[in-house]
Amino acid sequence: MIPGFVRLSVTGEQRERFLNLCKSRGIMFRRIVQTGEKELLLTMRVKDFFLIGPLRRKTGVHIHILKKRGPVFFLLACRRNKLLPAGVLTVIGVLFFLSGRVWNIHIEGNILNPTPQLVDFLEEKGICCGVFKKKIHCNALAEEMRREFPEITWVSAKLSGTRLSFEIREGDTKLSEETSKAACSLFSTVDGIVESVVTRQGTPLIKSGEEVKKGQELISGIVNITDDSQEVVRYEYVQADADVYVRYTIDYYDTFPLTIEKKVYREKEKRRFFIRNKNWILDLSPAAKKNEDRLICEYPFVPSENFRLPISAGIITTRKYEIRKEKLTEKAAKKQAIQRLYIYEEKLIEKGVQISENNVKIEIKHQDCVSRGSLTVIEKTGKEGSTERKTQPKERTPEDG
Amino acid sequence: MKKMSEFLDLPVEPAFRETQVILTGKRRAIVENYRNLQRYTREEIIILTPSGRLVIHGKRLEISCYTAFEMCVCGRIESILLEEGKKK
Repeated sequence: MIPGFVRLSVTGEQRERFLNLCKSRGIMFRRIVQTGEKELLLTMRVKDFFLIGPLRRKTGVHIHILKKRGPVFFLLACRRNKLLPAGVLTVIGVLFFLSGRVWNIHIEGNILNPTPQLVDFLEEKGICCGVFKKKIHCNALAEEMRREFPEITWVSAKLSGTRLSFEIREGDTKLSEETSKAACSLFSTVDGIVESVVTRQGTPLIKSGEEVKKGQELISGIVNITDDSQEVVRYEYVQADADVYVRYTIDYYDTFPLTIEKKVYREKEKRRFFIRNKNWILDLSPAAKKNEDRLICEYPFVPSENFRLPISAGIITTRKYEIRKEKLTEKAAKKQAIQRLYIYEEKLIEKGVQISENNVKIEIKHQDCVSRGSLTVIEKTGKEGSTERKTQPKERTPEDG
Repeated sequence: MKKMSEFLDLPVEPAFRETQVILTGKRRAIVENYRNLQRYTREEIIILTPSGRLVIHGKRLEISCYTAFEMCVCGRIESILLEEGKKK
């Protein structure tokens, strides 16, 4: 018998007698609750429900079914509606089909070999999202990856669920060692006055407070090795490394007209959805018109990491506007000029430049707002360049004295 | 028979169908070896047992399980009274 339960409402005078008679016939009840003066709610099995007919007549109680729960009712519903079991079976089938394939490729520990490069290599080997799990041989795949990429010293490929994960360890490259050993000097990139010098490697050729020209050598990559009598025995070539800060001035000039064009939006923004599959677009929005802002937000369909489907959906937000000419007041124009100066300064700061002094004056001239002046900045300088090779001094012998 | 059970230190409840009430705090009581349910309200449950009438007083009383072997009463139990029944 397929299990199933019904929640019943029992009303009448002889409710307790009904329960006792049911009990004596081996009928089991759950959650008996008194809700009204002559009403009980109880839960019983479907199998037992068909036995209570004579007892109901005997005791004169009224029975109403409130809830039906359990697989038996689901199967009855399936008999009436054929699409329901078909849907359930389809879902089970789809789950079974999907669980037999890889849907997520995860790679970690790679620095020298970028993930897209490794994903392309796996695709060449026939390993991509959606591949059948039985086709994947983790050991062979790890070995092939090690062979293809010499920087990789150790690979672990693991298949867990529908996820194929690679753990990679990479060794140091010979290239980086070679570059690190190459000797070089540091040269100035700007004209200015040296603010501070902190040398880690190499010989400093300037002091703080000195004036330097663009292209001047600041830190030499030659280190003189001297003996006890301070005479140069030989030259050691190193990669110069230092923090050299130079103070210099930048001329600033900015102008904009006081009459500006301002957008005045007329209507509320309209949103339209679209679907794109590579070059094919399903877009029901009207074509772009003049005096209309269009903001397109596209969301690619990425079910898992490194698995990007060519389908994407998006929203096109359009808003119509009118252009009106407005004349800025002196106060508003100066405020805008300050904002433009701040934006310029922020760009400099992003480059790593410190702003020391600001000598910019803002004035209104006829129909324009003009900002003019100079900014004193401190910037880290030092461009690597080749070191001039010197002939090594002759070794002194006792005969030389 | 009863003396023999006592002599052998055997439980007498199953042999003589004596009523057994297992109480868990104030919230649950399991009654075994009972005859009938005489009256059930949210405040009072009267159960007929071979030993007499068992009266359970309380608040929001519910019968969470009702079978031929046991009855489980849940809610806030305030008192349990076993009244003397007729002797056979």
